[in-house]
This record gives sequence, structure tokens and C-alpha cells, in this order.
Amino acid sequence: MIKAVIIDDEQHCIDRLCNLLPEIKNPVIKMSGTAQTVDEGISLISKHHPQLVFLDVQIADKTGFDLLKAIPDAQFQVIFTTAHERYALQAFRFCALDYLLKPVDVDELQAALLKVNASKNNSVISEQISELLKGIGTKPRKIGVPTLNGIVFVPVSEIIRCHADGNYTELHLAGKKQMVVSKTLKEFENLLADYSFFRVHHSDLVNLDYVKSYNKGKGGYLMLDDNSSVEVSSRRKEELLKKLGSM
Amino acid sequence: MRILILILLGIVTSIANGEHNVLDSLLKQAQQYRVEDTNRASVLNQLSIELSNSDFEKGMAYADSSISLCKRINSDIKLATAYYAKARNLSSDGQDSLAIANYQIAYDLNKKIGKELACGTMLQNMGISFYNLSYYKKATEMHTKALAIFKKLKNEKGTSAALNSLGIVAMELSDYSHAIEYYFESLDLAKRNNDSVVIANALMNIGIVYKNLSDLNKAITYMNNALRIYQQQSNDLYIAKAFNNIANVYGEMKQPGKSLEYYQKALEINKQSDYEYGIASNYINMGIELRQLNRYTEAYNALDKAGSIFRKIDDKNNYGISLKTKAALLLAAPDSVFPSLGISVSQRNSVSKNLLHEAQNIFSETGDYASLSDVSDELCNMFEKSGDYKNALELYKQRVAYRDCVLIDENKIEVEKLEMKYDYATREQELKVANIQKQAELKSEQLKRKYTLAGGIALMLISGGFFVSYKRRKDALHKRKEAELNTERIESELKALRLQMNPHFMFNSLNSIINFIDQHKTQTASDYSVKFAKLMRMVLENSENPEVPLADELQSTELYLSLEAIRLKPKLTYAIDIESSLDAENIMIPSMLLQPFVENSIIHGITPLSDGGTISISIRQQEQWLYITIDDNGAGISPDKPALTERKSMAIKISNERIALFNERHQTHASIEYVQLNPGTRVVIKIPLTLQF
Repeated sequence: MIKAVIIDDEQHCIDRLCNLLPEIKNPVIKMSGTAQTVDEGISLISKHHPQLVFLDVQIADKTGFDLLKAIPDAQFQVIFTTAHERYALQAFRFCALDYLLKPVDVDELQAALLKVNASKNNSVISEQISELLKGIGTKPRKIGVPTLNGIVFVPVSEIIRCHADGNYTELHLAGKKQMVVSKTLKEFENLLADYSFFRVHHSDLVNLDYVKSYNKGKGGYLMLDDNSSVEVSSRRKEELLKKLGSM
Repeated sequence: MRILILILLGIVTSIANGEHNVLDSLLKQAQQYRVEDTNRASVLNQLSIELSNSDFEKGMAYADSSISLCKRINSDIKLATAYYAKARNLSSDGQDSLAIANYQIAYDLNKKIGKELACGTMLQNMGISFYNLSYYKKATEMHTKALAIFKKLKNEKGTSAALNSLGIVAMELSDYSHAIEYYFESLDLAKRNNDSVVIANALMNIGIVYKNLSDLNKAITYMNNALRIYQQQSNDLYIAKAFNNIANVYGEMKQPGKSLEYYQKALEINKQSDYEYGIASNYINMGIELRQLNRYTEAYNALDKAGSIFRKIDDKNNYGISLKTKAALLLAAPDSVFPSLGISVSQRNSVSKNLLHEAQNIFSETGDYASLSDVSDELCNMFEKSGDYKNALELYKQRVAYRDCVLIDENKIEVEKLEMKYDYATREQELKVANIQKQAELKSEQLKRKYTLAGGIALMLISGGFFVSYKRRKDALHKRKEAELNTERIESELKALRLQMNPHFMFNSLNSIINFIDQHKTQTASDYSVKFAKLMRMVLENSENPEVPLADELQSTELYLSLEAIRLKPKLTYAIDIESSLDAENIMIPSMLLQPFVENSIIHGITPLSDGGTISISIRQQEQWLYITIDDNGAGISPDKPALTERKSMAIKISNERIALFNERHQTHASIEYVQLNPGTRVVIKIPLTLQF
């Protein structure tokens, strides 16, 4: 059984979750209370010490991030709930934090709660939250990557290239390190859109900061600093050269 | 487009003054000295080279006769020069590919007989021809090789020329940092050697770089410094060029008054030295500035003068430009101006039309598509204003075709530039690394000394060709912007159409939700709303992009169908089938393409049936086309229902407009076709297969 609270400034959103939660049988959620402002939320958490907080992003004139900042060393897991704050979604994905889109879908709620049950390591939670708070409003330096052993934070600047392998993605990192992540290349492409990454090919996303040289050809290919060569699709050639030219 | 004409070097004697004397004496020698030996070959070669600046047809003939003479007397040295002379004439004639072939023969011969300096000269000239052909990469390669040779031989003129050319290529590539580096290196050399001509030329070129960087104040400062040196030397030709360039910068600064003042100064000098090309260039530029000041009569007269000179010196393209500019001016001028031009207002259109037609003929001859597109545009506007839509449409089509020629050309050049620019950076890095290693081995300072000590004289940097082509370049940029604007217009219209899809679709769904609530089906209302929210989110996201992966479009279509299936339960079943060889993630299609057709099929095909029906969507590839077929086994046509083609919703009309714009944007023939099935209806959407990667 997991002790949970809901913090949301809209009563109907609280109601919707409260109506859905009894339908979830695994894990069983026990509601300890709800709050409609950040300040009420802080005192609710300090009073009940919940294991899980459903946290709205925009809470009246404050944000869920303000609440997290006010509680250092959070000992609870967070599932954000949001209707459309896109900047926030990107930040959540970066830290591999869970979120639910409103109106909440019961299947998605079930999936998110199953993950709550599985990972309970407090140090990872506080790292996720501290990276999230660092990253809000700026370009985060690190990206949270779910692996078999939990979430690992990798500096974006150390990623040389990402290579698609079905529904998995191989990350090739500086210092000859490699990781296999169960995310699609498209997800990485979206996540890293604001960085100097470029999809040169169906199956390769390259950090242009690591490009050593470009070799001409129909599409040509790139030589990277780790001495790997990556083919460039002829359809991407022009845009790639534009990008390289502007760097 | 030729911005700068560089004149070379070594073998060529100076022809700055007394050109006619040199020619005359050479001609005399050629007539008198008829012995078939190397002396005669020398004379023929020199004559050919001299003529390359004025009469390349004759020049070519002399080169050819020298070539056959040299072959008869077996003189490789003179033969090399003869090929060089031929190449120079070919290049003057604009036949740069052939010129390169001849330079290459000359280079091979010189290499064979060990004339290193001449080899450098050939490479340098080949570079210029490659530059004229817009092969910037090759041009840089040649100039770099030439530079190495000149430096090795400590040939100052050559070193300067090569540095200068490298600067010009870099400038063309908008690689201003390298351009400035080259010019500063040349400035440095010149300062050491106290060579004020080169100092001034380098300063002027640095000024031009700053102008291109839009750092106009700095540009003026450098150009003024150059001007001061030219004035000290009383070098009239260069003073005029400096005035012209400064005028150009003032024009860019939107100070037409000041700009005019400087063009006027340039004009006076050019008139004194009878430099016709310069005079005509000044006039045409002045016409442009005068028009900015609404001084139409003076502008018209200036353009008129420019035109008659260009015609006299047989500069066809610039003559065409003067005609075109004149016509544009007439079309824009207020009625009150006409009496002073000696043209009655009622003749405005007919006079302009004649000017434009004449310009059109000239540009067709010279193959200047950018200008042709301009002329078609003006004519099109004219016809449109006078209500002659048939002709207007014809010209609009022409314009689009010409514009495409320009765009394709520019795109090609752009890619070449980018490739080049990137290779540049990479090679430089490699060089740096190599250099560091070498320096460590060889005690760096000595090496550095040697490198910078080679001296040189920069060549004709800023030639007459610069001025008009500068304005023309502006024109080309303008044109390109216009084409981009047109693309933007299409994109924004497409976007507006996409956005219109959203509210339409939203209200339909809200209506269904209300129905569920009215019928007390709360669970269905809840399920439906959650799905609807998902679909809405997807639609909003997709409609921001003109094109989306087929996979995304199918996902939203499926979500839409599942919503409709809930609403119509149990009347609607559906199937989506995509050919297994197709990669839906990689195929791009216009976003929100399918939904209106699927909706139409549901409304008109399925809902009238009492037992319900099936929607089948299939995606197939055939050659370079993607066929999206939407079948329903529904009502089809019957006497009491409107015909297929009339059963069009608002959304379908919008989709048709989108397809038309899509065709305009991509110059393709996407189509939508309706087929009567028995029972049911088939819609076939045919679009070009476009891959993302």
C-alpha cells in the first residue's frame, strides 16, 4: 500500500484522480489528503510524509517546482499532472520523471503507478528532482537515462552519437563507453532537439560537436572523434551542411 | 556572375597605359617578321594575350596560329605560352571550362620543362576560371597550390595575387573571417615592402568585407584610408573605384544623397579618363539612388545614359538591366513626371511593355534567368492591372519557371559553398595540428619568419565589373527573398487551412460527448473524453508541422476511427493496412490529410446504413507515388442523394485547397480521385513518395 497526496488547484482534477484511484488494484493507493495551494501542499507533506505526491505544474500563481524547492531532501516520489505545459514535459522527460496528461487516462495511471512500486531508491529520487530544478527554464546539462540498474544521469556533452536498434537506442559516449537504453531514437531526437544533435540518417543521431570531418558522396559520411564513421542520408545532406556551416 | 576580374601576371607585360602603342607595335612586328621561329611565336603569343582584353576572337585566332607554329618548330616553351594565351582569350569570352582545359595543357608543358613560376601562374589562372564557374572548392585548391609555389619562389606579385584570390573566394563563400585573414596577410606583406598600391588594395578589400558584414562604418573607414593612398598616387582609375565603392556603402546606409555625391565624383573622373564601362556603371547606380529620392526624371535620364553606353560597348546584360530598371521606374512613377520625360501618361504602359519585351529578348539571349524572372514579374503585374488575366497568368507561369531555374542554380551553388566551407574548417584544423608538430621539431620562430617574409603586390582587386554586378547581386538577393516570401505565403496559407480543421473537428466531438451525457452513458462519455483529449493533443501538435511521418498520421487516424466506433457502436468497423515494405516512420505526408476523407466516408457512407459498415484504409506504393485508399462499403450514390463530388464537407474543400497549394509548393501533381464502388465509395489520394531520411 502506498500513501499518497494530491496537490492541484482545480477541484475537478483532484476529483477525477480520486475517482480513478480505487480502480487500481496494484499497487493499492491510500489517499492521505489533498491540497489546492503550494503552501497547503508543503504542510500536508510535512504532516503525512506521503510516499507519493501527485503534483500539478501550475498551481494558482505558483508552480509545483516551487513546492519541490521548498522541500529539500524529498523522501517521496512524484508524478506530475499537467494539461499542456510543454516546457515542463520536456524537463520531465529529461529527468525520466513520470507525468500524467489531463484528463487522466486510467491505463496511463496504472502504468505510472506500477513504476512507482518498482523503483524506490531515495538517492535516485533526489537526484532526479535536483536535476529537474536545475533544468527548469534552462537547457539541462544532463539527461536521465533509464537502465536496468535504475536511472543514470549522463552529461549531454558526452554523448557522441545515438544509434537506433529497433525499440532500443545505443548511446556511444566519450571515453569509449556504451549504453543500451529502452527508448526509441525518435524519443532521443525530440529530447535533444535543442542541442547540437542532428539526425543524419534513419538510424543515427549525431552530436555535431564531435564531428571530425565530412566526406563527400551521394549523401557522404561523417567521421567522428571516436573514429567511427556514420553515413549521411542524401536527403539530409543539405541541411546537415547548413548546420555544420553555421557552427 | 563575375564580381572581380583578376588580371595576371609574370608573362604578361603591363598594359596600364599606352595599350594601343603596344598593340600597334606588336601588329607591325607580326606583319613584318614572318620567319617561322620562336621569335614569331613570341610575337603571336604576346599579341594574343594583349587582345584577350579587347578582342578575344582575334586573340583566339592568333593563339591558334601560334599553337600550330610551335608544334611545327617543336618549341614546348612557346607552345605552353600559346595555350596559356588561348586560355586567356577563352576565359574573356566566358568559356571558362575550355579555358581550364587549355590552362591544364599549358601547366603540363611548363611542368615538363621545369618552369615552376609559369606552373604557378597557370594554377592561379585556373583558379580564377573555376571561380567564374562557381566551383569554389576547386578554385581554392588551385589558388592554394599556386600560393605555395609563389611563396617558395619568393615571387611577391604571385603571392599577393594568390592571397588576394583566396580572399575573394572566401568572401564569395561568406567566409569573412578567412577572407579578412588573407587580406591582412597581403596587407602585412605590403607594409613590410612599403608597397602602397597593395596596401591600398588590401585596405579596400577589407572595407568590402566589412560592408558584407554590414559593419558599414568600418567599411567606410577602410575605404577612405584606401582612397587617401590612391589620391596620393593620383591613380585616377582607382580613385574612381574607391568613390564608387564608398557610394555603394552609403547607398546601403540608406543615405542616397551622400551616395549620389560619391557616384558623381566617380563619374567625373571616369569621364575624364573616358572609361565608358565605369561611366555607364556610375549612371545606372545613380539612377537607382535617384529613384530612392523620388527624383524620377533625373533617374530616368541617368538610366537612359547608362543604357546607351552599355549598348555602344555591347554589354548586353547590363543594357538589359538598364531597360528593365527604366520600365520599372515608368510603371512606378507618378503621372506628373511624364511630361518632363517627353512621354504622355497614356503611353506609360505601351512604352514600359516595349522596354520589358526588349529586355526579355536580351536576357533570353544571355541566359540570365534571375533577370528574366524579374521581367516576367513586371509584365505579369502590368497585364493584371489592365485586366488581361490570360496574359498575366501566362507570364506568372513563366516567372515561376524562371524563378525555379534561379533557385536550382543558387541551391547548387549554396551546397557547393557549404561543403567547401566545412572542408575549409576541417582542413584548417588538420593543418594546425600538423603545424604544431612541425614547429616543435623545427623551432617555431624560424619557420614563422620564413612564412611571413615572402612579399607581394596585390593585383587589380576592385575592377570595373564590381559595381554593376554588385547591384545585380543585390537584385539576385532581392529575388531570392521574394521567392522565399512566396514560399512563406504558401506555408502560412497551408497553416491557416490546417488550423481551420481543428475547431470543426473539436465541435463534432464535443457534440458526441454531450449526446452520451444526455443518454446517461457516463462511462462512455468519460472514455470518449479521454480519447478525445489525446486526439486533440496529437492534432494540435501535428498541425504545427506542414508534414508529419505517415506513422503519426495513421496513429491519429486510428484514434479518430476508434472514437467514431465508440460513438456509432456497433455500426462501424475499420481496418488500416499498410504495405509491409513501407517504412511508415520514414515516409512524410501532409498532416491531417486523411481525417476529413475518413469523416466524409463515415457520414455519407456508414451512418445511413442500418447494419453499419466498414472503413478500410490501405497504403500502397507504386513507383514514386504513394496511394492512400479510403474505402467504405456504404451507401454510395442513389437518386435521392447528391452526387459523389457534391458531397463535400467544408473540410474536404479545405483539403482540396491544401493539395493545390502543396502542388504549387513542391511543383508536383498530387491528386484526389473519387471512385464509385459497388457498394460504397473509394477515395484515392495520390501524393509523391517523400522520405525523411
